[in-house]
This record gives sequence, C-alpha cells and structure tokens, in this order.
Amino acid sequence: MTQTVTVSRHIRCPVEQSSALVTDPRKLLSQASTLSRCRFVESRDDGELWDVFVDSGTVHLGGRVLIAPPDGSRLRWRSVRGTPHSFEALVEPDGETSRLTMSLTFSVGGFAIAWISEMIGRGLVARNLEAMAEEIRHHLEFEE
Amino acid sequence: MSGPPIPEELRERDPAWIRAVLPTLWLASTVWFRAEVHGFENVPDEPVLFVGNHSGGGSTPDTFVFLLAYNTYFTVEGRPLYALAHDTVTAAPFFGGLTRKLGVVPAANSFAERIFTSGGSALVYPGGDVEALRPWRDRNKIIFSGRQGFLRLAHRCKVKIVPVVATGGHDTLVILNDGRSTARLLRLDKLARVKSLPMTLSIPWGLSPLPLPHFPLPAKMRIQVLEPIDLRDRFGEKPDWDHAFDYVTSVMQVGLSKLASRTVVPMVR
Repeated sequence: MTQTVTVSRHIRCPVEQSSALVTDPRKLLSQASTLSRCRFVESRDDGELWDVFVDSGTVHLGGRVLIAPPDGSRLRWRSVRGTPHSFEALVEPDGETSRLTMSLTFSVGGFAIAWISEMIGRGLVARNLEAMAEEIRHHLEFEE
Repeated sequence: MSGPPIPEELRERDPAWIRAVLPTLWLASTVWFRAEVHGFENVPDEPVLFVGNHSGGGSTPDTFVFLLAYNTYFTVEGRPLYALAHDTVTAAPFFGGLTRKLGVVPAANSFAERIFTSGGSALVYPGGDVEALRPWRDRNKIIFSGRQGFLRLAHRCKVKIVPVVATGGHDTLVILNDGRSTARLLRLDKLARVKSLPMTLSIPWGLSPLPLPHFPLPAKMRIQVLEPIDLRDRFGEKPDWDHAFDYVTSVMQVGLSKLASRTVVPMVR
C-alpha cells in the first residue's frame, strides 16, 4: 500500500529566491531542523547520495536517498536504502510571490497492521512536512 | 524576591496557596497529561511578556501546566507570573477565585503595566477565545486574529516577548467548527466579547454548542518556551506593527509546527 502526503505554503518571496533555497539540498536540509542526521555521502552521475532521517522517538524513518540534479524549480529524491519513499519539492510563481509544494510518498508492506502503520505514518509525515515548510517560509520571509 | 511593593490589584495571587496546589497540579500534569515543558533557560532574568497559543476550549488545561512548570522552575517565591485572562474567567463563581489565587488577572493594559513595574512577568494569549475554540483540524495553527495589543504593550513597557508554544491542549476535546458566525449572529461578540461559539464534543457535555469547561481527555502535552524577542532591538522605536506582528506569529508558527512534528499519535504520544 502507498500513501502520499502533500503540504503547500504561500511564501511572500520571489520565486527565484525560493527556488534557489529549495533546489539546493545543502541549503534546504540545513533549514529543516525536524530532519535529523542529514549528511552528504557522495556525488554520482545521476545525482547526490544523502542520508536523511526523521527521528520519531522510537523508530527512525528515512535512510539513504538519491537526490536528482535540480530540474528548474523542482527538487526530487528517492530512497535507495531504509524506508521506501520518494520526495518532491516544487516552487511555483504565485503572482510576485511563490508557492512551495512538498510531497512525500511512502509505502509499508503488509495488510491490516501495515494499514494502521500507514495511517500513523501519514500523520507523522504531514506534521513533519508542515514543520519543514514553516521553517523554509520563515527563513525566506524574515531571515534572508 | 525583594522588589517594588505589589500593587493592590495583584495581591490576590497567593504564593502559599500555589505551593499547596502544586502537588495536585503536578500529579495531573504528569500522570494524566504526561506533560513535558522545555526551554525555561531561554527566559531572561527580568520582567517579560510570555505570549502563548491558546488551546483546549473552555478549560485550557495547558495554561495550568505552564503555570505549574513556571512556579517550580522559578520557585513560588521567585519572579511572580500573572496570566491575563478574559473577564469571564476571573469573574466566574468559585473557579474565578481559585484562578485569581493562582495569579490570573483580568486582561487589561493597566494590570499588565503594574505587573511589569512591580517586577513580575505576564502571560497573555492574544488569540483568546477565537484561538482556544478553533476547530480541531487547526490545532497546530497560531490564530491571533490580527490582535496586536500585546506587541504595543511589550514595546511600551520595554519588556521582551517570550513566545510559548504548546501542543496537546486541543486534544482534550473535539471542536468541530470555529463558530464565529454563530457568535456574530447571536451578537455575543458585541454583548459579551465572545467571538466564537462552536460545536464541541467533550466530557461530560457530549455534543454541545456551548464551550463550557470540560473534563479534559488525557492528551499528551508538550510546551516549549522559545527564545525572547526584543521588539525595540529588532523593530526600533516606531515599529511597523503589521510587520512585527507577522514576525512574532511566524516565529511562533515555526515553533508550534516543530513541536507538533514530535507528535507520533495525537492524544497518545
């Protein structure tokens, strides 16, 4: 079974400025304090390998991800080790400001128990994406 | 704490009574709410204006958890903390008297200014009833409804703002809608300064259109005291109030969202 969680935020900042932060994994991951153990591993032809985790207190969600080279104002990664998931952050113009949309798709194997885990995971992912979006928004609007 | 004499309006706070109720509050906070309060090391040793997000309908249990934590961290004899509340709280029969002993005073600028000049700190919830009665789906949102009075108060009194964010209080009941149109329809906003009248689901009232004090569900509570904000230092002598408001609420929204991200299962953990 697969779940996709999407979170959007309006950012009072030009799209170029928002994109510059969101599409650079070094800048993006340094702003997301709810993510833990973020570490650059190596560069490859098809992108960069990073370790990215969410520490939920009991389990550590995430693992090693392959971040694709920036594609316009979009950043994407997929897991290569750990919790199977994919992530996308997209910045679009919204008048003279911008809109950030982040989506994370994950799956848990199994049936009834997996469904419960997915529902709990869905809430956890949503709250973490919201926290990440708020940190990015605040940084772009007030700290840059 | 020695300092200026306590003004008459603030003398209802009763340190001996606070000391007597601390064990009960501690038991409720620890066993029922599994409460965690962090960040008091961010509070400077001077009068400050604590600004919090208000949750939990008519009971606002996280306020009592915060008052407990404050009075144990800084000690009952330390810098007194007064919570500014709606008149309906401090004037309520029986309950109002108990809250006044705990340091709750009517939310008026004159009270707040006397608190600071007497060396105390104040706690305000700018969102008031609108935020405390926001729908459950908005439990992790800061909703101050554009109320900027707290900024002018802190700036005028030259005290720093210390933001306090809390999760869990809004899991102690279920609020189904925001009820602002109902309050306007019944003219409660004009007659009783009540801006919200939502449908709630709580113990013992069940489904009710009145936000009566309820018996709180055993939700997991987390409270985080954030770093102080010096309005004069950041925005100068004549702030752009809208910008200052956006900044403070943005800081608090980030803090609240980060705190909420630690929730694994709402209510439970």
